[in-house]
Amino acid sequence: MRNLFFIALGATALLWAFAPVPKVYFQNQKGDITFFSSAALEDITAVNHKSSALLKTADGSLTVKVPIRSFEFEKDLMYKHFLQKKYMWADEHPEAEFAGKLTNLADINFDQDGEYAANVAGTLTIRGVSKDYQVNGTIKVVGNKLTCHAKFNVKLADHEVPIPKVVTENIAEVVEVTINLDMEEYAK
Amino acid sequence: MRNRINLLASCLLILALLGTLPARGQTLDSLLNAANGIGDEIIYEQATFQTTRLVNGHSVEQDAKGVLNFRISHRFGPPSPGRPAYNLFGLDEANIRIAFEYGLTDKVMVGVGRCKDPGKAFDGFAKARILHQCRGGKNMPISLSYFASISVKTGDPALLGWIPNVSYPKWARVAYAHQVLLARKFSERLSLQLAPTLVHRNMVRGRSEANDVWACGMGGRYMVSPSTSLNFEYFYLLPNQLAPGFSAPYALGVDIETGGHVFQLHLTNSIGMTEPAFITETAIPVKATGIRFGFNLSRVFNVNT
Repeated sequence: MRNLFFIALGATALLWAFAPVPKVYFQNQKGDITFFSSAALEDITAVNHKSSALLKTADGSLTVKVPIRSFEFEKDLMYKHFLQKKYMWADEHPEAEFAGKLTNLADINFDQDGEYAANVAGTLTIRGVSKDYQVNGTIKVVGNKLTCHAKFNVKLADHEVPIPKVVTENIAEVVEVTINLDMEEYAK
Repeated sequence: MRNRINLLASCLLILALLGTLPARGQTLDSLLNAANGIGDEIIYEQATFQTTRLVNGHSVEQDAKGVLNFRISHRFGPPSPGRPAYNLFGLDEANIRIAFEYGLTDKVMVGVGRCKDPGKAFDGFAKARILHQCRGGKNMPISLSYFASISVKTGDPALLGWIPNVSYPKWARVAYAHQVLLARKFSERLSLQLAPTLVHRNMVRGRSEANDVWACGMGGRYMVSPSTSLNFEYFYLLPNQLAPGFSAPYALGVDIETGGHVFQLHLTNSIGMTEPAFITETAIPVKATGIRFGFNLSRVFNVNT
């Protein structure tokens, strides 16, 4: 009886002491997400500093949200066009979203500073159309901060982003997306 | 006693297990709502109209900061009565305005232009955005801009219809316009605009005309495809301000937008392309409607961003 009590107490202590404490990392409207389109007539770059992200080390889940209206272009007219129905239709689809998981969670030690390879599998939704992606990037742990970096290609047709015929020479069919998340451990 | 200790032990075990479990309830949305509140983002309406003009008159659109807008506009003649092909449906006669317009800030733009008819006039204007239609964290149902212009006719006295050998003051060549532009984008397709306007001309033809001409523009656009809109515009003039033979201007047009160009093609009864010209000097030819073809071509350059 008394033994049972001490066993329970011991188990508690052990679990608290040795189990890795799951962490939640959060990014609130910062980071930078860039896309680059290189076509015959022009190159277009847009950057977004208002993305949000959540990473849970318990299950390796990663969610990223990117508000379409917050992309910054070199030319104002590009931005105005970008929001319209003929391109991104921001009124109907105000955000792009990624929801996925780290597939090599066990290889990353969130308690140990360092740079780790990170493989992510998940679904990217742009303009309301979802597609599965496998992305390889890196996660850098510094104290209670995480920097995630990845680069991958998005084919506009996969997300049914219509490109008006008159600008096919101006906009690439495949754009290069660069992700830089700047996350911090979430404290309630 | 035994039961109590068992209970305590079980509780501790459960607590220990819970401590290792992730906080299940947290989602990105719940964290964002907790950190930022809900619905704080202000969404400003973009592209209420395709360009800074509806047809003849201004729209609430601005050229953005550092954008140079080079505009070439033409108004052709009315088709020759009875023989429309004789002057190629009016294309033989052309009035032209060439203008450079520039966004000083995202809310203030200025422009200078030169228009052949009427009277070989130079014009300068400024337009400022005062209210910007938005929703979300802040709600503003309309966009409102203020527009002011000055135009100076440089034509010879004979061209201006002045009495020969009479000395007119220099300021007789000058006219001003003030306008408030009120617009609302009702949907992705439909935008409407009202434009109360005052045109002041320093000199008019005679007692039958008012120096201060009050008018109210009304117009709108309807997108018929993602890159094409139908535009219309009409200026109502208070009665007894213009001499007989002059009419209120109206126009019906199509805007076609490509990458950096907007082509505006229209049918209108006015030949002038600045406010004093098209509001107060839209003459109706004898035995004809005076409807003519015209276009505005706009090309933007980013000179300073």
